[in-house]
Amino acid sequence: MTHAYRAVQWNKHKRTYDALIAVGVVLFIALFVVVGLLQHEGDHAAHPVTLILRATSTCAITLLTIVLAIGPLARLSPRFNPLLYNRRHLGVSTFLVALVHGGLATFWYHGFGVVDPVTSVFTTNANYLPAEGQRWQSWLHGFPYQPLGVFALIILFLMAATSHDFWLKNLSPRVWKNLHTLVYLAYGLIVMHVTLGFLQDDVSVVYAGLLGGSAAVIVVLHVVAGVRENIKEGQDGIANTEWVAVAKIDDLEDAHGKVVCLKNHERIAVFRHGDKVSAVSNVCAHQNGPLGEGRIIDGCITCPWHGYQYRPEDGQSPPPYTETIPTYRVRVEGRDILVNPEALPPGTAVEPALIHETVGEAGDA
Amino acid sequence: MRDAFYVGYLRMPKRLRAFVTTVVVVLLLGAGAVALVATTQQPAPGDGTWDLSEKIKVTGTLTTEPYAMLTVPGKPGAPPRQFLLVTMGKVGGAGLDLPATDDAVSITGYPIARGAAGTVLLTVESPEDDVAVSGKPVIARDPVPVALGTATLDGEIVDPKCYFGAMKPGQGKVHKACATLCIQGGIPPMFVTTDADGAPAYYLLVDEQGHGLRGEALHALLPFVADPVRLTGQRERVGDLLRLRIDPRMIERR
Repeated sequence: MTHAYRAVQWNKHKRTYDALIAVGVVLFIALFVVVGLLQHEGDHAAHPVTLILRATSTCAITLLTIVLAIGPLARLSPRFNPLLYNRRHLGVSTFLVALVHGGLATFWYHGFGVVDPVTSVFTTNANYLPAEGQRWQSWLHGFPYQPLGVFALIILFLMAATSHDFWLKNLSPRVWKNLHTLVYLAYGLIVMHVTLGFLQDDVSVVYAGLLGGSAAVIVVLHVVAGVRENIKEGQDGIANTEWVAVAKIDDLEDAHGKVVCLKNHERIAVFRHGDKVSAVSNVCAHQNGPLGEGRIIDGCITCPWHGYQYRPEDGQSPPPYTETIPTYRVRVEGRDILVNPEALPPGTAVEPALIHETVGEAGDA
Repeated sequence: MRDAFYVGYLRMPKRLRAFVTTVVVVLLLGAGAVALVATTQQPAPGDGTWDLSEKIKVTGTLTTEPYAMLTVPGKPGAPPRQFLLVTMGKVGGAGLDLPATDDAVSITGYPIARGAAGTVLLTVESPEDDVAVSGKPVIARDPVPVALGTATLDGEIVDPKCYFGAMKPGQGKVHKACATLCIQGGIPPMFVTTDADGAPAYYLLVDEQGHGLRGEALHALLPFVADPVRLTGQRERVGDLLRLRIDPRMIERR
């Protein structure tokens, strides 16, 4: 949380996570290059630089596929949250591997010539528009694919450079989130980069299959997660009247929360902590994590994504942290929990509703 | 009570640890499978070589038209051999500032060779150290062109330095920019096609008068480099190399 910024707030999980990324990337590239060298021996071997270019491109796309799959997987099951926890390091690793690919490709294919290498990336193949009478298949076959990769790399760089919470805080979560949503544009550009580049050569259909498989995994997971959330939203959608019944007390385990969606798509997290009930915004101030899927730990609502904490009674992070989230007035009637859907300013103290007074009367405590 | 809820800075619950370990193993094995499948499906890049371990010395007659070449006598009964001269970078022999002489010239360079075509190019590292005028009279005259008739051929325009061994592979879409830069830098454009028997056939591209492609003619050719194209022109054999006389404005895409 944002009391003081450090380059990385290391803990055991982050170290393990990063070690697995490093080992995975090194093994991936080594396996690709070594087997590639053994496959066509002697004079028939591909150049080692070519193999490294292909290994880094395949590795970067594999990493990006995993990065993009983690989000919907975590929405489908909180058991994937440990993968989400340090996903930004996976994203930075993706950028670094892609940077090696882009830098080496620029050096190898565009260096040593009569044109500046960076200029050459954009100008040496200038078939951006179809020539007169040229068939569109022929135009696409010759289309300059390198700039697509450059633009994707720029997006990955912007994301990696702003991945630290310092930027999240200073850009504002909304701007930061929008910036990082560009990862989908980067992925699309990379798919086009490969489709209009390597796949235009006389290569095995397996490569189109791998790329299509990556895209299919990402699209299917996002659609399934989106549909499931829409269904839940439709079921939960509650009219914004003055007080609305959002849950039964028996539905809420102690220290657990429930996400309630209003008709205006605003989401409220209702928590039971001991004999009290509180309601806060479902949106974590850090990265918009779903607080209602969190738990109460050490008396604080704890976000399932990165462990940011808020006191249920006032939506404030415990000192010395400074994050605040909106709170809602809540009361208990019989077995029903009622919430006033008007959000109070972030950090506003609200007296929790007491369960025993009412439920006890009903003989249900 | 802590159930399987995960907080990054706290100890991971046991139930969750087993699940996460399984997912990580599946991801690592899956990534390994992707690497293995992708690398074993790579097409063979041909048997070209650029031997940078040892230079070879060749003595012959230096010519700059149509391109910088060294012509040496062939074996008995065989036509003279012609070596295209290029620099270590993406610049042709014209960038070597070769001496204008009728005397025999010895050139020391790294050979670029591919399969049955043998050594086609010599890469000259340093004109001062690797090019020597012998002072002896010419030992191989410019070969007389032998006309082979007009032909329309399908194939790909490549830069021979990369294609014959520098890049591996040195052809196709991924290599298009590199090939274009090489040819733009003066490395002679070559056309790769197949002969009647399906074997690779290589044609040095020249203009309709037999001169090297330069200036506007070269710029007309550049957009077609590495693309599938159809060329129509006069075929001829000059020494051990085939040449195709073309009008670059008439190149067709396939």
